[in-house]
Amino acid sequence: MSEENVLVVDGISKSYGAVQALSDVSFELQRNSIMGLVGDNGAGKSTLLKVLNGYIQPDDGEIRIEGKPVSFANPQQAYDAGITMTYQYMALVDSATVWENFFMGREKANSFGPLKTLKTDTMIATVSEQLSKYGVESIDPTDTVESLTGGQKQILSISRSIASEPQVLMLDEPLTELSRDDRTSVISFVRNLRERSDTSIILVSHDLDIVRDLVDHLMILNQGETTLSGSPADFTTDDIVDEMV
Amino acid sequence: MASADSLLTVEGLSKNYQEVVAIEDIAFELERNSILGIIGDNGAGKSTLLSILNGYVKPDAGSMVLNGEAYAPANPQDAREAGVAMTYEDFALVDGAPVWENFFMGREAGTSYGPLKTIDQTRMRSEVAEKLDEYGFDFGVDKHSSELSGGQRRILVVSRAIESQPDLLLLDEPFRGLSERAINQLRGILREFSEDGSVIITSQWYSALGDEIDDVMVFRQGENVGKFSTDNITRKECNRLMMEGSA
Repeated sequence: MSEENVLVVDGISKSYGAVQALSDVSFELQRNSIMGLVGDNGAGKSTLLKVLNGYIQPDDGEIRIEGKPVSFANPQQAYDAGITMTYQYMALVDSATVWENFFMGREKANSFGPLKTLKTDTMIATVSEQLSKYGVESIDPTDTVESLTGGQKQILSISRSIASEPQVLMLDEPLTELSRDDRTSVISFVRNLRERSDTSIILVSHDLDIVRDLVDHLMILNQGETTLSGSPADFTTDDIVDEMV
Repeated sequence: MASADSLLTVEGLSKNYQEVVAIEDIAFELERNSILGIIGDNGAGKSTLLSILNGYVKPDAGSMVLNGEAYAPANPQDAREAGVAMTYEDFALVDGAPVWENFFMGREAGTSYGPLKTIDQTRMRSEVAEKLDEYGFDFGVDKHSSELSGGQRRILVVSRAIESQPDLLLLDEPFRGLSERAINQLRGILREFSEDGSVIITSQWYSALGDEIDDVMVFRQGENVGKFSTDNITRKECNRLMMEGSA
């Protein structure tokens, strides 16, 4: 195993009754890389994401993070181990500001005996820094979420997910229902994230332009099995669609 | 120009949600007694098109002709009156009410005595039982909706929509989350209904549409990439068009 592998999935299988959802699926996710996950209806993508996210437990196989075997009884354990997932516009409160959404549930505060005051300026500055780090200058942390575009909301959702500095971030079709400009902004943000953070990414997308543009390693699932794995540059569109059916 | 066999003609239909182009310049014809599947990635515009056809959303541009007449429904009621019905998955059922009440909700059978009306429960029960039996289901008309499986709920919703004898039935992702058995049952209903009317169903993937469809239309980022007879296109080619947008 290469030391550069953040996540190793080794021989994962999962069945639901007679249906074999995943069959001996293995892959390695390298540090600072994006792996694209592609597959037709019922290919096993959702099951794989749920296994990695701790929603379901595999029947067989092993998951290793930074070389250590891990198993998750629930999503919190996966999160604690360094795997997180962003759902589209997940739980953003439209009427609250960007910084309030970013820190929701984990606000920074000063304590004066039993009294607490929020460190508002610190939180605003942190959000501003975090967004700038990944090349996002168009979002003002004091703006309300309802004033943001779809792409800016998606960037905020992802930024919040990676505030805990996870090893692995899973993005399930993060570019759907976005304008062309917003797609460009989110793609640029994800690319910067790969280059400027220690978080590696698993990206589900069925847009081959995006796959070719963003992804370092492509894996195709077909009826629960891996049918193609490698650099997208090595595969033609024919190769990809052939392996999906 | 619409052909004689055309039930619906759509021309230049576009809809934006602020800066997001939901659908752009969509044009197609739907033949009578046919089942059209629309596939496309999430956000490709499938649901927007169905919502326009159902009068739930107004297009920014474009025109439609239904049964030879201009069709521009202001709301779903307009659409129903023009012969277009759409099912909204399971939330349209009242969980606390039995199957027969859900089936007839809003159009209860009754007898009038001057200004007074009585609801004819016995008749409604037996009519629903007969109808469900005709479709091959045995899930008891007195069961509460909350006791039904996901597949049974979906079948009840679709059966109810068909009962209004629409010319066009719209189903958005009808098979999602159902067991194989329920999918096959639902497909059987659609096949039978297509003898009387036309159907448009959507799905992300061609493989999820089933063998019943006559034509498939591929959407990508709000555009209609093409409409094909299922005799002339493969699942693989559909995947390619959906993912890359060019043949």
